[in-house]
Amino acid sequence: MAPPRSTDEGSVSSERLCEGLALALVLAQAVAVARMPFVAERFFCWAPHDSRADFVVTARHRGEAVSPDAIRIRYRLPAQEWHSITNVQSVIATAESRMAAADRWEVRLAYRVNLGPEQIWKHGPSE
Amino acid sequence: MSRPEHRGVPVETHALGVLLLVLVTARTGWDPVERAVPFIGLFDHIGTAHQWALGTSVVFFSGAALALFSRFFRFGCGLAGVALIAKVIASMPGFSNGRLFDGLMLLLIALCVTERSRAILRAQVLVLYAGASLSKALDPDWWNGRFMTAILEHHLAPGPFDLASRFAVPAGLLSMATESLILVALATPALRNYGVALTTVFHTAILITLNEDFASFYCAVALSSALLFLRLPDVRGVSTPSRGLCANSVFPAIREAPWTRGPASVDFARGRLEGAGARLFLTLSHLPSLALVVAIPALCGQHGLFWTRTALASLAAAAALGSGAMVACATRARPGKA
Repeated sequence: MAPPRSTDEGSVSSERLCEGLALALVLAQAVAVARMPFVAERFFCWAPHDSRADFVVTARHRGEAVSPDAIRIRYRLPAQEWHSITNVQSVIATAESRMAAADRWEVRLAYRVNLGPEQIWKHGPSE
Repeated sequence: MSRPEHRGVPVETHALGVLLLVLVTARTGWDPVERAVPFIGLFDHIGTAHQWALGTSVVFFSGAALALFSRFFRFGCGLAGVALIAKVIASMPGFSNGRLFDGLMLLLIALCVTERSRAILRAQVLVLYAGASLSKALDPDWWNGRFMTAILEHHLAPGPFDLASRFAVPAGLLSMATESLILVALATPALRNYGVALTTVFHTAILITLNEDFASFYCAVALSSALLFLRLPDVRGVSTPSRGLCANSVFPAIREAPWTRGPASVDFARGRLEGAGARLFLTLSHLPSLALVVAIPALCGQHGLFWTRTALASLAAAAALGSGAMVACATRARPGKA
């Protein structure tokens, strides 16, 4: 039978566990930063305020226009965003993917990045 | 030489935890972050959105209270950090780099207590600057000036900056170069003090020039940088009480100035952190920083005259650096343990 561990040993192993957790947290962020060139999203990779997107979201459901209030409640998006426009697209795509098929909207996102030309992104049933 | 601790936590880490908790409590702790389109779908099923917002706020404030007013400093920091991270994970549209940084730093402060693990706290700051630098380098709009043009056109604070919009390209390049330099300087032990100085100047300039409420995030980053990276010359050899605070200056011109040979107001060389006096000193040394850290972001928000913003942001920078310097002085002053 192994001898009981002393309090000091327990304390050391507890500290090591904490350090391991802390290291894992930082390494996970390092991985997120390293994959940045290969993905469009800018969540969790410390790209703060590096882009300015002005956008307007409109949507239709079963052929009828959805009210701005309903859009705001579903997506909680401001009309202006400091982060990447792809984050906005991710929010819309994720929100829609969690809806039942019958409740999904046809979404149109008109946006300008850094005062550039207007672009259109569409998502939803007609795609 | 073992490093001084306060209730089992290295003093720099303790100071950073206290200042971050006060900063977050004063600025964003009350924000009822709505749960909406969470990163983890499961979060949608934990109570109502209102209950979630209330619950995370209660957990945050409980953690802050434990850390600030009880002996459970680490546990309190961890609780507050987890609550902030949970707020971030629960809302994709409300994603906030500032809140995420505060939460991660508090959680890491709870997890990292040994001298060796303080390197992990520093690595957190380095990862932030690595991400920020890479993101800008990958974006053509930062190289051709389009981003800066958009920023200067819409977000410039009122003040004497009419010429600034003509310098969008150099301003963008300068920002990218500065962030990269900060990363290199903080990562190089011999250059850390320059890195801290550059960090402070950079974030202060952003606070002054942009009419946006970035103050909390940048104050948190500047504080972390000052407290984790600032290092003063080893003053263990300075044992005469006739040289005081100035003898510990990072600047040789001040360190060697004749007036530093006068009576010392604070005798770091004889300071000991175990005693009640040292704890009182540490507490008092944070008071100006605490007051400024709380007051300045509130005043530097989306209003304020140019010179008011400049003066207040400069005071915030001085407070961050001052706090770092005080703690660095105190941690070096252990002649008896050399």
